[in-house]
Amino acid sequence: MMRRLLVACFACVSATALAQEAPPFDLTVIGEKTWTIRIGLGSAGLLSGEDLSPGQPALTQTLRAEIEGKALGFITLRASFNDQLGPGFQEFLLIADRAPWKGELGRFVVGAEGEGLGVYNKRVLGARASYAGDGIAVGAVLTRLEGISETRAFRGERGLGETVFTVKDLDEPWRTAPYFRAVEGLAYWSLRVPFVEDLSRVNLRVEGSLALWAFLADWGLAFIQEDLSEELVTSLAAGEFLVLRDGGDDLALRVPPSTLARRRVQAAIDAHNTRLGLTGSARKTYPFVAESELETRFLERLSSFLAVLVDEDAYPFPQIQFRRYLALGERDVIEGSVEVWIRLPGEAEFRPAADPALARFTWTLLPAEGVVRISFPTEFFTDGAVRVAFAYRREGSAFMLGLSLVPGSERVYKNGKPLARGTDYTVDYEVGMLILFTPLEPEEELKVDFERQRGGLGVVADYERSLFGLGVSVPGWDSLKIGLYRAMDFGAPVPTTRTMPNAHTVAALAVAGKVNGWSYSLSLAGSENVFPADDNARVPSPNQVNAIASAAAPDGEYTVFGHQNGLTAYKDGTFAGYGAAHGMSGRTVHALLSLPGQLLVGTDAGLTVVRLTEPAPFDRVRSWGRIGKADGVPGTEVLAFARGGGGVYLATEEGLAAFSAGDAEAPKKWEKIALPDGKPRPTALLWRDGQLVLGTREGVFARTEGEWVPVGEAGDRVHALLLRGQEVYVATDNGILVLGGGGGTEWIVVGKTVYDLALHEGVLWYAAEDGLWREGARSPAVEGRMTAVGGSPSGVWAGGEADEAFRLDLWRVAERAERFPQSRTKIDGRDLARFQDIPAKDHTRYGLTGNLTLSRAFGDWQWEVAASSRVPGYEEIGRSGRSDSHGIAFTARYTGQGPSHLVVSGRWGVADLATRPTGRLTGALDWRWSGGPVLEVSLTPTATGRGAVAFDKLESGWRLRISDKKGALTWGVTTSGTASLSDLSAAGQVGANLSFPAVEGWTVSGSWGRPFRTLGRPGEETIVLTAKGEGEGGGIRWTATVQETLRHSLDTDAWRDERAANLTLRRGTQRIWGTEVTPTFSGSWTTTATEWRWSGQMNADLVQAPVLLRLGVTVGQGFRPATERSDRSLGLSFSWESSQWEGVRPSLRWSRSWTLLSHPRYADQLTEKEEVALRASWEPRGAGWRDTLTATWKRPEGSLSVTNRLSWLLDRGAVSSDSSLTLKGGAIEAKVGVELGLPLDALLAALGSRPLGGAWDAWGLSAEAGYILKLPRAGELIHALFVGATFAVKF
Amino acid sequence: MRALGIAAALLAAGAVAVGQGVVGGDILFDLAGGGRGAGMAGAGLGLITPDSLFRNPAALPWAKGVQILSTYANLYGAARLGAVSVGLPNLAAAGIVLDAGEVSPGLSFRTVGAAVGAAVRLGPIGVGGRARLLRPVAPVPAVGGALDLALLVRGPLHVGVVWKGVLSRSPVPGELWSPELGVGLALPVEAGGWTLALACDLEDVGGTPSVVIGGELGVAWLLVRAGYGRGEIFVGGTVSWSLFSLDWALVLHPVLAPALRVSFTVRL
Repeated sequence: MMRRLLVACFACVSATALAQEAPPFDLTVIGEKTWTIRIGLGSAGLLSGEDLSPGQPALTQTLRAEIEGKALGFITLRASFNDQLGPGFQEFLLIADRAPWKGELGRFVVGAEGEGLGVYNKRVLGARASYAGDGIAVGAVLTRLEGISETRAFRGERGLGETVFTVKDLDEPWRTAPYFRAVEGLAYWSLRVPFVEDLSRVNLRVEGSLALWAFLADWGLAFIQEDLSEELVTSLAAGEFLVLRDGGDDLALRVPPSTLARRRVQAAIDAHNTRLGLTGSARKTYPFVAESELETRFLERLSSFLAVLVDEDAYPFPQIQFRRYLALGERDVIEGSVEVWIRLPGEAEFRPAADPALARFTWTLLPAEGVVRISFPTEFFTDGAVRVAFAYRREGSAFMLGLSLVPGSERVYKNGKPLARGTDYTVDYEVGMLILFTPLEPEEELKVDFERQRGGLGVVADYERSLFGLGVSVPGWDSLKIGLYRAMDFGAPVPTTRTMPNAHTVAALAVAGKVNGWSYSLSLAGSENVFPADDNARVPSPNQVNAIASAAAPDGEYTVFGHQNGLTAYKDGTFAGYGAAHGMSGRTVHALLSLPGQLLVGTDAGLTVVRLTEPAPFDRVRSWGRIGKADGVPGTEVLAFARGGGGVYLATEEGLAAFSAGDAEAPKKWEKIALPDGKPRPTALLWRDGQLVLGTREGVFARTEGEWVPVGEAGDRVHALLLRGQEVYVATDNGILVLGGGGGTEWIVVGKTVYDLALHEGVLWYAAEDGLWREGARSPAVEGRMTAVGGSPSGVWAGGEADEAFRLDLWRVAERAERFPQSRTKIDGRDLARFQDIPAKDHTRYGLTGNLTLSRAFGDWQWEVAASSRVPGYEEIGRSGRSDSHGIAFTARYTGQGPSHLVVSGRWGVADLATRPTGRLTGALDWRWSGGPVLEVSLTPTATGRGAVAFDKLESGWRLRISDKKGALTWGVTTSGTASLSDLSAAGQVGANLSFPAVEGWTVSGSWGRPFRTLGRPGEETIVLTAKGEGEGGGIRWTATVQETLRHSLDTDAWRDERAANLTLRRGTQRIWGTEVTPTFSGSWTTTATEWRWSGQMNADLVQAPVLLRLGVTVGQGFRPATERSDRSLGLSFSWESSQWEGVRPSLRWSRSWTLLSHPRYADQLTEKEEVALRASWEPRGAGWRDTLTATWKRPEGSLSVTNRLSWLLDRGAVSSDSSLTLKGGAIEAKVGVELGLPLDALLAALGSRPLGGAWDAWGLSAEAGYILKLPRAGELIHALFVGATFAVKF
Repeated sequence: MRALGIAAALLAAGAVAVGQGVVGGDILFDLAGGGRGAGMAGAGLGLITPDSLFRNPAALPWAKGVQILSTYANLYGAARLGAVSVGLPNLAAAGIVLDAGEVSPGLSFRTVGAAVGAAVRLGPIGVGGRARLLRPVAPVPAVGGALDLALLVRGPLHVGVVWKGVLSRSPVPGELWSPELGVGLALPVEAGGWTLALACDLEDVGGTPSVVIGGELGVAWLLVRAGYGRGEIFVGGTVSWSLFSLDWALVLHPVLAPALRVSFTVRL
């Protein structure tokens, strides 16, 4: 509907725009179009670096066009295309503006800043038209919404995080919590000797013993013995562990130990494949289904052969410890920001860790690593939980908003004040990164409203969304404006849709004017929001068991349950679940058929074959085979199976297939059979005496002489078929119908839906809507809605549909009924991909809002009084937030002459009036006097409390500052903070700063800050003293800085100091033996609590025209007392450059550095780096060409590369050539490329043709050719050739 | 996951068959049509346009001069398509590349195609044919092709008929490249420097018929157009200057992100 309207509107606006007379126009198009065709031959690996495939021509095009056209004096077209950007980044807008009419078609914004009336900043695609008559203006919009509104807030350079650690997974409580969210915490070992950065080596060791090889052979992995033996010790990557210092050193794993073990085996398998060059089906793969019971057993046993080595000290996996370290997921956590809550086993609520009842629970923060070290009682780990809220430091001024933003949709506010793009910030809309030009201060807040693209890389959207609107404005009647907008989703939910369609309507009215000297503005609005974005989630459908089968494997009998979320296998009291991630073709299991040596699984996305030829077959990757429609299955969903007559039969929604059991994975050999006319959806299949019987949603059909014939009482929906003797039992919506061998029929169960049938020890069992029934019984064996039944050696199994609480149990009936609850079966009671509607009446919000503002000037005072009210549920289209708020406010601003400026304001407001009212009375006084020294006074009293006028918490912020600047002397004293009268507490800080010229050339500055807090930890006192000097003497110019920083936690008496000093000496140019010498020396010294370091650097420029020499020496030394590690470094550099020869400019650069790490426990470790670069440029005067040859040698890489670039500017056009030769690790790679670019006319002239001239001047052609050669250290030479041509036109 | 996205994108783009990971049937050629046709929902079997090779090759005799048409399409952000065609009176040829890049290590989706069309004019009647070659390159190399017949009758109301796949061989073994008959009516009007064209096509006559409609209105340098079909809205426009024309079309799918089609024509 919406789309048809949009087309009609488009046509109307187009007609309005164009149905005029003569078509004079003025069009400007600026841009470029290119076509490039390239093709490569040779090595695929080398060509991939050029984005080419061997023998495959590649056509690439680019187009960039900026279009602006005007016609008839009232039509304007603006368009911008760049095909390197996505569709959301293309602009076009057609405007027809002929008073009193105006129409727009294309992309534009509704409700831009300052013009919104019920709609806030929605960028749309569509049309809008307006009529502005003498006394009235009417406008309408008909658009498609392109983005989904979002809001992000950032506070200072800090991020907020919260992590909950539990015993069980929060979403699937029948599973244990994942590694990083488990109360058990990180796996760790306590190190026996301290860890030294850069010197201690951490490796993973496999104990290459006979016991290991025997173990691997037992598990079918003997083939990796050779590769494991080759590399029994492998290094752990830096990201896989962390060292925690808290007393002694502990080494904790940042990946689960089982993952390390799995990776090691997988790496050995990869090495085996690489060594033998195995590909395709011969390639070995990791044999276990990840996290299956079989794999868990394997990895547990394997772990006994693993250890982490710290240097030569071994820490075996079996000695891993837990229950000490909880990783918060962010580094650099801010001390004092961490809050810990604890939920004891058996309790529902979290308590603060400071609760006196939790005296045995202690914790400390390791801030740099973002880890909390805990010491909790052992019994806590049975079912306890920990919640940790914290803040962490963010770096930089970049803020990630997420991918694919709608261009121009952002509104950015810093402390409530709007910022301007280009002036205050910039945005990369594709990447979704906002960069502020000035960083946020710690207490500043950045709020960003924006829209994210619907679809693509943006937000997944279930519906098409449109915005309609109508606005009326009557300027002569108190500037009356009326707006009515409706944003709504189009479409109906299908079972897989996760949300309900939203319909959001807003009606608004605004008037403004003047009365008796007062300016007033009044606005009123109401909204109805049906299924708002945060309240539109449909509820999951209940999971149900669809099929039950018994399957024999070498290790025993399995009972297999197929349900909406996959497959669950039961054996020896243990259930294990499998889904698409483990090998299933699809998600939902419709049918099961057990055959000797294999299990057929019919899913919603094809056939899955589980080969039952090994013990624990479901846990082995190689047991699973997937066959889909693309492979030859006659349909997408495999719905039913049958077996008989030596064959196997399978039914899909599009047809049937017959095959022998041995061809189950060879669908090309299958015989295809058509469905009955009308293609009723199959539900069951049966083989009876050479005849196929098909159950469908529309009755039973029998196949006779190649034709389907309806049998029984047609029309009933069939759920299952069962053969008993010569009779076919049919489970239907109406009971069980028996089709006799002679053609007669009989109902044995009537009046209820029967879902499944099974024969067990000759007795009929059936699953019905009221329970599991045994043939002839008066009451069900199990009550409740049962949907599947199946026999097994241990009894009759049954399963049903999950109840309203999503509990799904399995039952086994032998001598008595035994229940297997969800905690044992681990079957999720929710159908994870199908959802049900929710009622609109429970998910609709209504709301009203009103605002009145009065303002007037009284002498030198400007007064403003405002009242506003927003009823809960009111929502503006496009703006998040719906909580209610009500308040009145005034502002008085002194605007007179003189040194004083004064603003007094006050506001009373109440939020959540209907539910939990919270009142807030605020005032503000800001006075600034600048008659001499500058005096600033700011008081912000606030009273808050539960209830509209119950102000039980009174506090006031203050800020006092006096400062002055006279010449080079500046000083200031400041105090700021908050005082609470409710609990007679105060928190704030006092500070002072002073800067003055001490002696000539030196400026001394100091700052002091001391926090105070009457309750809680006060913080840290800081004193910073800085002396900066500069001067010149004896021909040497010097600059120096000395800084001393003293920090003192007010909890302790100890001061920590950090010192830094820098000195730079520059001597003017001296002439020595005909050489101009310019030496520079700089040195620095820093010392902190954890390290001291000094460094010095000396450079000298020696110029003896036309030769320039530059010499450099760098030395440094550092020491870390905590680990006793010291480092010393020496660097030498030399460069030579000459302009002696006209047209030739050679240069040589050499640098070498040595870094020596020392520690009492380790041998000295010396690292050397060396680089030599020789470069020569030729550019003969008047030749028009330039060639640059560069040769670079690097150590320790041992690489040598030679590159050459030749560029030649022709009279019309240019030619360039790039070539390179690289030797590294014994391999040689060479690449040569040539590119020629010419204007088209120049090319024609060169070929002897007549130039085209005119518009062809803008055309150009370029050709490229390249050759790449690589000679590996071991192996054969590979090479590739590529050529290409680019045709381009500029306009 | 991205492979699924690509499949969904291609299906949403009007695909009729995606088998074994290759773009089969008419999909590639339907996508390669210019931005003008896309802006009218693909309707216009009875119209004479620069992309007649793709829409109705029987219109080729009415082509003026040499026209080079290049088309670029971003298919819902999942794949890119590039096509270049050269048209002369009575004759046209095109090359097409659809590339989804490397979906996962070692798995790419890439298909190339070519089309050659020729037609003769018998008074107001044009009769022509078109040969199409389809070559999926990755992930499964294959070759297929189809031969099409076309008719255009230019009266007060133009009637176009295209019978695609009269002879065909699918690149996917076991799959059909089904023949498809399309019939279109068009009403082009030119008066006082203005151009108006309305078109209505009935696709897949005898199979699963569907109707697409489209219209365009404008002057020599500017045309705006819209269309509706297959549950999608199509809007677009054309700007012409010097030797060039720029056509663009935006395809608004109910749920997926919008798709952009841009084509650039050089008239010699």
